[in-house]
Formats: sequence, structure tokens, C-alpha cells
Amino acid sequence: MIEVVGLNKQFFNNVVFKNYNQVFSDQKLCIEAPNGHGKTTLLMMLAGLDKPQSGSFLFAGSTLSEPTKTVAIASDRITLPDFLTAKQIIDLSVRTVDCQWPHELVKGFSFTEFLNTRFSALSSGNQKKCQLILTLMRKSPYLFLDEPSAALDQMSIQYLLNLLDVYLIDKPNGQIIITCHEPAVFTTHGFRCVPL
Amino acid sequence: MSFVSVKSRLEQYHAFISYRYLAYTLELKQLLVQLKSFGLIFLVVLGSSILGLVLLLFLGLGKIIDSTDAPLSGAQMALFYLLLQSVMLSAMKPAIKNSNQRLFQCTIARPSWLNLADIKLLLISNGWLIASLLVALDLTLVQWIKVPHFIVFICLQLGLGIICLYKPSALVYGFVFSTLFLLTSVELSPLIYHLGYAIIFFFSIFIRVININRMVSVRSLFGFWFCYFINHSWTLVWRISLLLCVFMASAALLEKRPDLVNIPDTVAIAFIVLFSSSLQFDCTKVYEQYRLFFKMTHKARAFNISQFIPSILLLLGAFITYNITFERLNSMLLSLGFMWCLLQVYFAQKKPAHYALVWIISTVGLLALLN
Repeated sequence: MIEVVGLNKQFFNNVVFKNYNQVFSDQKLCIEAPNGHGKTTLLMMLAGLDKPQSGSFLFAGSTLSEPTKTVAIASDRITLPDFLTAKQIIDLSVRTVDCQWPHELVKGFSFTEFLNTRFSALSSGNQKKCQLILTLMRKSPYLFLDEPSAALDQMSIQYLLNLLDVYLIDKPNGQIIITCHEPAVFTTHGFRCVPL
Repeated sequence: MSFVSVKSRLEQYHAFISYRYLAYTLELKQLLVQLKSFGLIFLVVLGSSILGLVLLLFLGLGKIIDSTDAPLSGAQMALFYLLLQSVMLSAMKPAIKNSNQRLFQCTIARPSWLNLADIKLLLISNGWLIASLLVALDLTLVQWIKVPHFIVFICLQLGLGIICLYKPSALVYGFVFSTLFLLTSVELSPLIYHLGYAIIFFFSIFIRVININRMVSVRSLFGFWFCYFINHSWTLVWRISLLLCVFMASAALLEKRPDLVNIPDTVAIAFIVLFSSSLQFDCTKVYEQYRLFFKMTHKARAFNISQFIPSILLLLGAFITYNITFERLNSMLLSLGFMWCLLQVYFAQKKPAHYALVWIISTVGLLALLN
């Protein structure tokens, strides 16, 4: 369960969250809100990559000292090194995060032939796949996916849904939170829609 | 913590820092490509005097160290060095921090690793600090005791480098208040000047950033260009800093050889023209980028004309400052400079490949004519 307590976040004079309180208790949920209402910002703050002006986040009742260790996030806001090939980026992450090389994920997303392509030269769909591989390979209990189906082909969406179906089997306290403007496909796989 | 765990952590850190070095070198290469057009000009003009410029750098440091007799000019020189250092580091900041992939770095490394890598790359990049450290190593203990302000100066160089990475707005406030401090203060000892700078920059960290952009209502092309330069202040900052450099060099030369007044005047005007007219390169890019947008709003012609105004305004501003600083007004040079700037702006827009050549020929011609 993730609790957001007294969250205040603003960019200069633009207030995004004002004393925002929310409890995300479902294991799989999809946050819904119009553009510019702070979905991505909330995920980034939950993942410890952005700081609120005030407020706290409780994961199973306690705050995380190093969120990046237990939270994995995929978002377009995280710019990957475009001067490296996809394989180099995955290699780097494998070595610094200390996890296994994601052979299965690469194969499952039909990404093998693009491994040696520079990230900047990848199509938007393949860039999304690379983001998802980097996130899913960490096997973190908390998984946040920002618009995961955007730009993906149908086969890859289906593969992702299959992965998410079994992702939490060995993580009893884990949670998957996604943001999506077309949640229908996710709700059929057990995701509950929550307004922001 | 077990040996295996320490080894694994070191390997992780090594992988991360290798990535940072790679990103740093690649971004620096890109930066050099961007500066290529200017680099060529400087190479042609200053190529033969690069060694002299390096020596000048050390001479300036000597003036900062040995400023007991003239503390104010030593303090001015110190602030000027800190300004140039900040300009250089601001240009290199995206490479030092790998700013574009900052969030990605956060997902693969501990926050302390990020800071450690930043500081390492900052120290490598800060040629000004390295020069000071080289001089510092050459000082004996007796000399050290005589120049305690130089220790503060080195600390300021390091501190301002870190501020440049993490709180750049403090630099703006710091330099403004430090300049006011120099203008208003009575003659103090070098140590007090340097400690004054340290205190000013320290408190500048706590001043809130003012978002001017939001306060401006863009109702005219003037507002558009104003907002553009607020958001791309870098294009003006480095030009103004280098102009300051030219002004200081002129002042130094005039102090030693007042009989050669025409030479520093001509060279100063040449550089004023160079830095103001080269602004047209940026303005042309902006014009191309937003041309269709202004065409849609029936302002195509006005927008086309407006792109020349920033260069002219910078030229006038620099001329007025130069004339006020050196207390003389040479109307012939002023009108000549104005025409010359227009010519350079024309070449910057229509024939950029000939821009540097025209400037060099004009400078040499003018020097020959006036001397």
C-alpha cells in the first residue's frame, strides 16, 4: 500500500498538488487524469526522482530511504543516453544496478535486432521498449509505468500485459502503478482505474 | 560489509564513472563543434598570441596574489577571474553534469555517486583553478603567510564552481552584489575583500530565484525578443563577459602607454562590433524557427526587421559603456563602428562564410588607417 500524505508541489507559481492526500491500496492500478494534472510528476516523486515542496510517501507504512532501490520507473521524462546503443545502455544498467542481463525481455519485445542501434536512432516504439526492458529487468517490488502502451505495437502490448499478469506473483507486497489515457486494455488485466 | 559486497559496489561505481567520462568527452566534442565558427576566428586572430594569453592568465594571478599595495585593483582582478571562470564552467556544465541524462543517472546510481562524479569532472574542467593551484604549489610557506587572501581566492574558485553546478542563480546575485561591494567600499585589505566575496556568495545561495519570464506580458515583438533573451541569457552573458575582458585589457594598455590611445580604441571597437554583430547568427536561427508562426499572425515583415535590433542594441550599449568607462567620445569611431556593425550583420545573415574574413580585413585596415 502506498500513501501520499500532505503533498504540495508547484513549479514556480503553477500549483500541481496542494495538500494532496491519497491511498493507493490496489496491487495494480491505473491513474487517470487529464493532461497537465501531475500524473507523471506524482510517479517521479514516488520514485524519488523529483522532490515535493512538502509531504511524504509511505510504502507499506514507512518512508523509503533509497527509493531507487525498491522502485523501478519507466517514463519519457527520463532521458536515456542517446549517444549509446541500446545494448550499451542495458549493459550499463545491469552493471550498476547489479541484475541479470534481460535475455527473455529482449526476446519477448522482439528487440534483439535493435540492440546495436544508437538510442537516438531508435523509433519511438523501440525507445519505449528499451525503457520498459530497463525497468522490468530490475524486478523491483514497486513498478511505475508512465504511459506504457504509448507507441507500442499490438504484439508488444500483449507481451507487456502478459508480463504484468505474473509480475507480482513473487512480490506479495508489491504494486504496479501505471498512467494511461486508454486504460480499457489494462482494466481487462486486473488494473483498477483511480482518478488523481 | 563483506569483501564481495565492497568489490561489487566498486565495480558498479567504476561502470558508472566510465559512463560519465564517456558522456563528458562526447558532450565536450559537441560543444567544440558549436564553437567551431568562433574558434576559427579566434584562432586566426589570436593564434600567434595564445602563449601570450596563457602568460597573461598567470600575470593576472600574480596581480591577485601581490595586491597588498593596490588591494582594490587586485580585488577587481579576482572578481573578473571568478566571472570568466563562471562563464567557462556554465558553458561546460551540461557536459560536466551530463544534464540531459540526469534522471537516468538517478535510476542507476546512488545520489552520492552523482555528486562525486560531478566534482571530479568539475576539477578536471576548471582550468582557472588548476592555474591557481600550480601557482600555489610554487609558493613557499613564508609567502603563504603573507598572502592569506589567495587561499580564500582558491576556495572561492572551488566554491563558485560547485555553485555553478547546483545553484547557478546564486552566481548572478553574487556577482551583482560583489560589484556593488567593490564600488561602494573604501580601500580594504585584500583578505577583507576576498572574505567579503565569500560572504556575499554564501548568502546569495539563499536568495530565491525570480521568474522574470512570468512577469512579462508578450504583446509585441519587443516582448518576444525580451523573453527570448531572458530564456537564452547565455548568448548575452558570454559576450558581455568577453567584452569586459576587452575593456580591462584596454584599461591596462592605456595605463602603461597613454600615447597609443588609438590602438586600444580601435581594437576595442573591433571586438565590440564582433561580439554584437555575431549575435545575428543566433537571431537568424530564431527568425528561421518562428518565421511561419509570425507569418500566420500577419507580422512576417515586422519580425524580419526585428531580428536585427538585438545586435544594434548590444552595439550601442557596449559603445556607451566604453565611452563612459574611459571618459571620451570619439564620434568618428562611433559612426564608423555603427556602419561596420551593419556590414557584419549583413554578412552574418547573407554570407556567413565570409563573416570572419570581412572582420579581420576591416580590423587590420582600420588599424593601418588610424595609426
